[in-house]
Amino acid sequence: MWKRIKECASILVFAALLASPGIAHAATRQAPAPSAQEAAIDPEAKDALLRMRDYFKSLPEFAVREDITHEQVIDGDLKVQKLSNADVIVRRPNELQITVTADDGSDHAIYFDGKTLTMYLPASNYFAQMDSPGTIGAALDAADASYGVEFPTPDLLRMVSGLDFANDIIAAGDVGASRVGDTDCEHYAYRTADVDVQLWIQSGDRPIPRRLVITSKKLAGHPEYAATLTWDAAPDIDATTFTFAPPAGAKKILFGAPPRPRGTATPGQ
Amino acid sequence: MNRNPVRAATVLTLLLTALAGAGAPSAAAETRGASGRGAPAARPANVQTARSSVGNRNVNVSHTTSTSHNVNVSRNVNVQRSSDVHVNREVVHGRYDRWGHPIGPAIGVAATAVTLGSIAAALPPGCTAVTIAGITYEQCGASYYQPVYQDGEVQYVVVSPPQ
Repeated sequence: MWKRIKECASILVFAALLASPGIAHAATRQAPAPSAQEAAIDPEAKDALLRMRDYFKSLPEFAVREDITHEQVIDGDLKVQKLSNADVIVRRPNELQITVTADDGSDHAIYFDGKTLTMYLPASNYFAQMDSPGTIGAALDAADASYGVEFPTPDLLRMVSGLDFANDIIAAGDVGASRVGDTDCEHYAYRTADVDVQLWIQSGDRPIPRRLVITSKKLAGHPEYAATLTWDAAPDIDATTFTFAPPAGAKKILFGAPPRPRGTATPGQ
Repeated sequence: MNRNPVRAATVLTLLLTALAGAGAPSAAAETRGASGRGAPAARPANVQTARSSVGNRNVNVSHTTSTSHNVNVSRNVNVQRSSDVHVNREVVHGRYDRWGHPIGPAIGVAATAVTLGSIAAALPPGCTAVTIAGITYEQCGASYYQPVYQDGEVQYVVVSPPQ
């Protein structure tokens, strides 16, 4: 329960006070024992996450519109938000199409058909392609690890492949009833080692996430990544949805660094 | 994010070497061409970006040189801003200065060739795209740049004239 989490926090603060210099007697009270930490995971909150995950598994296809704010911390403690929108279409098992518009001009589109992942940049008319046979989750990880390709709400996309953060949770609780737009939701909070996550899960028989907030609590200023999600369980999908067709004048580039130039000749400076 | 620590160190060495050779950043240095630019991305050193994912393998894991990727690269390519080099603020602080980050060495406008293998965050003005064996190169005066998508953005690598 959330109350228990607050109690744990109080205990930690008290222990910290006892341990600080200036306090005469040695601190004998320690951080909560593991069993207390397990009790910090509200089973209902964890169950809600698992129900949401299982509901995902049952959807053969879906589309979601994401309104995203993404915070950066500059100058030490100045937080600024970057705004973007993402339209995501998924068809099981491994077809994905994403269109991102962003306020910094970094608009891009991603296509994945289970074999090839394409990144298209409309501003420069460049596109790059990489072989990525397999699941959406595997394609995400490969593109991110190899080339730093960004995806909106990566956790949501990984959930399509059955991956989620349930095993990383060290505390969880029910913040209370809430509404996102016109929809009744239950608002949950989850804590992992590095980030805190909030999910607003739609009430009723379709436990979809309507809002997601990830707080980077290890960074100064605790910047957040937040997305409001609007769903369509019957998206318009046709034969071309997941296939990238280069527009007129589109220029193909490579992922990754080009081969090193042979020799050391410098054309001049 | 410790994705490419070796590469980042190499690039940093390139940048430091280039800057050492070019002398202190100044208006004159900026007009000597793009040789002073070795860093792949013009990013301020003090930007930290919130993580967008719970898992370890995600973008924007905290590191002090990160900013949102693809920031302003396409703006650089498509906007003819040769006069920017001579604007005081942008010459001293680099492009997009205070809070319009990224910040970095300004784009050189000279058409002289630059060091093979050096990496630019954006092209100088006046480039023409050339396609060879299906891959795009950008010809800018005497230099050829190969755009590649790396580290979450398009980077332009100086290459030999492609055959």
